[in-house]
Amino acid sequence: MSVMVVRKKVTRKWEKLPGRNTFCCDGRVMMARQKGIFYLTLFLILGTCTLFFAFECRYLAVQLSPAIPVFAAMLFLFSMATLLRTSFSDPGVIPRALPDEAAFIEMEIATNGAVPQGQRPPPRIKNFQINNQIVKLKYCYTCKIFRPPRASHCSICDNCVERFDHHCPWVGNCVGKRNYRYFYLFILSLSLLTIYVFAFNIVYVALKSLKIGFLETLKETPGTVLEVLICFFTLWSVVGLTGFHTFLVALNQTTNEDIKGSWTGKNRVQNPYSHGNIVKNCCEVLCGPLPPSVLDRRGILPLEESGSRPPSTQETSSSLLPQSPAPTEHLNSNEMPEDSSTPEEMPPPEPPEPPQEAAEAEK
Amino acid sequence: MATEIERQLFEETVKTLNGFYAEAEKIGGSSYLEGCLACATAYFIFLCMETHYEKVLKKISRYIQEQNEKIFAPRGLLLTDPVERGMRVIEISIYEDRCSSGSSSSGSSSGSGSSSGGGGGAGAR
Repeated sequence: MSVMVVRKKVTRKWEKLPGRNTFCCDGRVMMARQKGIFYLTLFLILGTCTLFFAFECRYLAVQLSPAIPVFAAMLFLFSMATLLRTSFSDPGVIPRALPDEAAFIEMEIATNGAVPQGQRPPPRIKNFQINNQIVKLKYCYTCKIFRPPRASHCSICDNCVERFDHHCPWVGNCVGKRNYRYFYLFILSLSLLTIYVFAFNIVYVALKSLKIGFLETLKETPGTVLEVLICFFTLWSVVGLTGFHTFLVALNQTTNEDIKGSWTGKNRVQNPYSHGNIVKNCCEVLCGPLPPSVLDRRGILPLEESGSRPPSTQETSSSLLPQSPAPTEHLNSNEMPEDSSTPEEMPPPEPPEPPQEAAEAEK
Repeated sequence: MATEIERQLFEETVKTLNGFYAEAEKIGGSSYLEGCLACATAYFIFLCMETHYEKVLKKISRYIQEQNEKIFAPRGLLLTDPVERGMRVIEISIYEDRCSSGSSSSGSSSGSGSSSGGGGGAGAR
């Protein structure tokens, strides 16, 4: 008698998530599909700083102060950390409606408005009263949900994102509720780093030119010219962007709202999210509480189901009442059922508690 | 669903949940301190520490489990934690007993009830 042990690869939820995202490190990292410009950003920052540390810092540390490369290193590390945090984290993607909920809402929409076949119905708006304010929720036809206030659908990533600011190709991800502060700190620290490197490049060229002349200096360290050029162009764009976002943070507005003019104009409501106080707005946006990701990327999908239903609903109710089979209607028709015909296999372990998984996925 | 559960009980549950969410999203001294400390450590501190929000979400999931066991399950209902629906809706599953086997149908209450369950976090503002 022989015992066969088959190690079955577990399917995690990120593999079946709809939307145009790429995932790395088994679901821990989440980015947009087009990453080319992100690699360019990385290359520019790493390249310029490498040249700066290799050439100018060696001279300036000796001639002026060893604190110069130390501060540069701190700025560099901080901006890299915030860049990676912005690029790799979930911006606040709202998971799509499950088949049951989607069917229910579509039925409601169909009964409420007679729409001729083939034509797209007008955007559905649901009015809610929250804390004595009427809030209009728009229906998203792709995600089949009523979007929370300030959420918007990103057409590049094909997801609804909470407190959607904009999709940043330089960072390779959307900027939303969960990564806005990292994005702001990234552009702020990058501005400071650019100004720092630019200034000390000028100082280096000035100091060295006094000794060996301007052209000789440039011949000795040709990298200086490249650094100055990169810093010059970066300054105009990044510093301007930092200024713009500082303005938005002070008013607790998003880029999306600013472009659409949601809170400006004669007949519009004033921004209800602003506290009226610049300091309080900044504190809330940059140091406020950070909600964890509601996309359970690292949760394990059960083998029996075809992957569109998370195991958590069965997990909580299994101890209470018997389950019926999952609905046959699926939102994503391109999902193939797992091949469960392998013999003598151990079922994958069920996650203990979904919120813990979501918290774990962040780490 | 009004026949399955008393309005007051459900309202109380939703009010308690809204209270929890308000606590999670409260902006004050402790949340600023946490935010500034995290920023000072370049957010590496989140590798070892749980945020205040995550702690409250755990409390919420324990509360919902408790409510399900004590109040909703005896009435054939099941409350799904809003965090599993993207914090948009509070889903109530109604279990119907049909002849041969148990089957389930679920209805979601996206804030159409008395207290706005939908957008629980946003409602705290």
